[in-house]
Amino acid sequence: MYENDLISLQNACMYFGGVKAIDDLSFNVKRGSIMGIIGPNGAGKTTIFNVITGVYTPTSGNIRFLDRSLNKALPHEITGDGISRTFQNIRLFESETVLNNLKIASFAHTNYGLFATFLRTPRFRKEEARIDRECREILALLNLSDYAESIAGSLAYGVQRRIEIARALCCKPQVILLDEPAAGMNPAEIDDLNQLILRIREALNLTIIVIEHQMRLVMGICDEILVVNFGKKLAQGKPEEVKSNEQVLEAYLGKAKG
Amino acid sequence: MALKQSDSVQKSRAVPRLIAVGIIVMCLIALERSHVLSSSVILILDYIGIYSICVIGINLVNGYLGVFSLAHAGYMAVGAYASAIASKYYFTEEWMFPASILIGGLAALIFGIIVAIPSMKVKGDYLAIITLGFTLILQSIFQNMSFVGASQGMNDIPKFTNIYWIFGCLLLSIYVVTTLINSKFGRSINAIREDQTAAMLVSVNVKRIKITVFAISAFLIGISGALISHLLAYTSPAAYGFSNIVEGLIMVYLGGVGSITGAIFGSAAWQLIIQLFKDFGTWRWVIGGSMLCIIMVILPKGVFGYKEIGGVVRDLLQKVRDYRVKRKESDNV
Amino acid sequence: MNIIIQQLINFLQLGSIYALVAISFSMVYGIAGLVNFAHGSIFGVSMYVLFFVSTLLFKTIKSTWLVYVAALTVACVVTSVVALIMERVAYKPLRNAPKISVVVSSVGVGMVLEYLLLNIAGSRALRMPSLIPKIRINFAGLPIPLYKILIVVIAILAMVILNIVVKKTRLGTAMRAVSQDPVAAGFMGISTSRVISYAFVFGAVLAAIAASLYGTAYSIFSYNVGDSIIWWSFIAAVLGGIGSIRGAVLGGYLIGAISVISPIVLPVSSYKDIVAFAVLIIVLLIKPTGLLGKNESEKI
Repeated sequence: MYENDLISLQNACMYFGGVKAIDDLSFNVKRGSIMGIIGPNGAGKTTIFNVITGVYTPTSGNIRFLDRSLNKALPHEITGDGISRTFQNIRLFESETVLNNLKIASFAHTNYGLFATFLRTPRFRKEEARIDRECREILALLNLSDYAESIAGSLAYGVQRRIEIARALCCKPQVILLDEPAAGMNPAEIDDLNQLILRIREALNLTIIVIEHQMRLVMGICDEILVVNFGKKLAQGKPEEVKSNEQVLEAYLGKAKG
Repeated sequence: MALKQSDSVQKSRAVPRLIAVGIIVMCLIALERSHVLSSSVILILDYIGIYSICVIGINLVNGYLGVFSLAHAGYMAVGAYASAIASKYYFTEEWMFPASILIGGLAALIFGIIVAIPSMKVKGDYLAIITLGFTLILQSIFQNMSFVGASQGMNDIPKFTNIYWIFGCLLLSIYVVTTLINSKFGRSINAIREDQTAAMLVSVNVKRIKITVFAISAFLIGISGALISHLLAYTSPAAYGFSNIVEGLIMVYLGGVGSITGAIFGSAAWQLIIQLFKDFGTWRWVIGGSMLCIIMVILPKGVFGYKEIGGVVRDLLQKVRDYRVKRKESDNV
Repeated sequence: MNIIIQQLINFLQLGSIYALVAISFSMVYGIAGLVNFAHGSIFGVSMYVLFFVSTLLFKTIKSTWLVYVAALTVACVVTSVVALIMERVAYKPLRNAPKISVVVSSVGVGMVLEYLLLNIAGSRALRMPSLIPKIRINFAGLPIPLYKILIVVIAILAMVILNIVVKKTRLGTAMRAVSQDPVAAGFMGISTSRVISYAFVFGAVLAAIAASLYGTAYSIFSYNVGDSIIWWSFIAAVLGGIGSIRGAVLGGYLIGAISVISPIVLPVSSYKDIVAFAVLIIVLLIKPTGLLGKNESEKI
């Protein structure tokens, strides 16, 4: 593992009974890079996110973030410490306002306790004001300011996707994991999303891992691509390398006859 | 735009709300002092106040956190017994009553934390049955403990409770819950209610929040137990069984889940029904049960579900204003 | 030795009744997705119908069997009607409401029924006429009352018939479909609300059968007879895995065993509640959906 690697999986395995969702998978993610994870449905892509964020404890192997092991860490510790994520099926707090959705995600770095809450100390006011400001800044960064007071569940699908990204950013992450952010989008929308992802990486110094089927996004912005099938690594490399890899073509298109 | 609400607006409402409640309490005190109210009316007010505290406590877990718990009768029993022992043997002077109340609350708080532990893993109906078990086990233990009079219960508890203590505690409960709800804790509670997994994955410490909420809820319910045992001067295990659980539920869901106004409205409405229909004997339970069904069918979240009185009045005023504007426009046409 | 056999029979008798009520409880839960707190009152209603009908019939008819069958039939019909009305009035309008609202509504219905019983029939305890002849048969040199054996036989028979209905008939297939996914079942042309109504009827009939057995076994009862039996059956159903018929049977016999064994082992009889709840809590902490319940893993 190099100095530059932010996240690294070493021989990670995740078995559910007899099902090997992740099978002896190793890869590193460089600081500041965008890594794409592709693979057929059921290849174990989301499970990778789930073991990184502590939803599952890996059966064996190591998952490291900088110099810390994430194997035993709990989801809220991991997300509070710098790795946040979005979900394949949008999971916003639907009856809350957009701003409150973001404030909820600021939990880990809102620094006051019960005592300050009950007595409304100056610290409480200061922290609340800071959180309010920071969340509005994130909304502005993603062009969502108009929706700040709207109820999250009432908004259009594409907007909700962006709010989910905004919410993940409110955890103040170093790494953000995006699970199929472009699902159901048309090419023009994907181009916008590409711009947005590049912009937030620039503005917030992020490292990004993205699961996506849409090649327009993967080939457009990823520095490196990891291809998985049946929980194993099939290939890893620059987009051009992966594109011409025979094993990858086989997994996606089936074996060429003759 | 009735849907829009912002936290900064809510925060500024906490103070006027408290002032409003304060004025109501002052009026009550004035009425009590001037002997306008008969002692039976005062007694009804006592009950309303005590059960409001209890229901605000239940509401924290069952309403705001969205966990269907049936442990409230157990907390109430613990609060009643612990405070009764305290003031019977240790804090025998009336001015020491706050210490007894506090002991009742803290004893219940400990049990609240115990109940919070299974709530991490066990969900829904399964958790409901565990909390029910908790209540019935406690009842059974009190029934078999000769130290507290076994099934006879405890008598001769000093009659320290009066309307001032009750409404003082009620104000305190309202303050505690209002400030808690309008903070990062309150936001996290809402998040857990809507989607616990998502909450966890946006850095909310679900375990800590749940333990906090269960503890505060049990504390408030314990206080109501302490007040009631010092009002009636006795306490017995029979009072904290299934019927007490049901009564608590009725008041919570009648008034509305996730609302302080609802908690007070629910307790007031139910206590009034019980007192007004006293002549009907056991028929009033039939009336009460039917009312519960009717309210659920008409308003599944209760009368003030996730709404406070301020918000309801504001919405109403807004509607009146919209209507007037519309009228004016149509007149102009 | 004799004591062991007697206790074994007591256990089978109590366990069968619990299992039967637990199944009736679990059926409604599995299909309508509702913890029916009013089920205890349905049980209470059956007790009173059985009592009044059998007392009335014994004035003219001397054959206990005939009276038993007639009273049970009337009880089944009456409780089914009560259950259907209950479903129509208090649950159906709430089908799209939050789950908790329906549970609270069922608490309300339970209260109404129980206190109606109290007001109509009074609070004094009644004695159920013996519906099964008081004959003793010799078993391994031990005279055992016939009714104890019949209780077990009838309960097991009811469970077997129910199992056949659920597994082999068209209605049973529809029930299983609705319990797994009501929306998808609706798209497959199954009338969800009719299936739910059937579930309530089945639950009521099973409760009536269980009531007849309970009345035979313990004879003394009063208006709140449903309370304790339903709590134990509820616990049995949850212990076994609510919604699962096999789980309800397993849970019923387990609770029966605990109720019979703990008073022998423990100094105070009411400690059996504590033991039962302790077992339940430990089981749920290890397996959060009961012994035979399906583990629901959330997809993220």
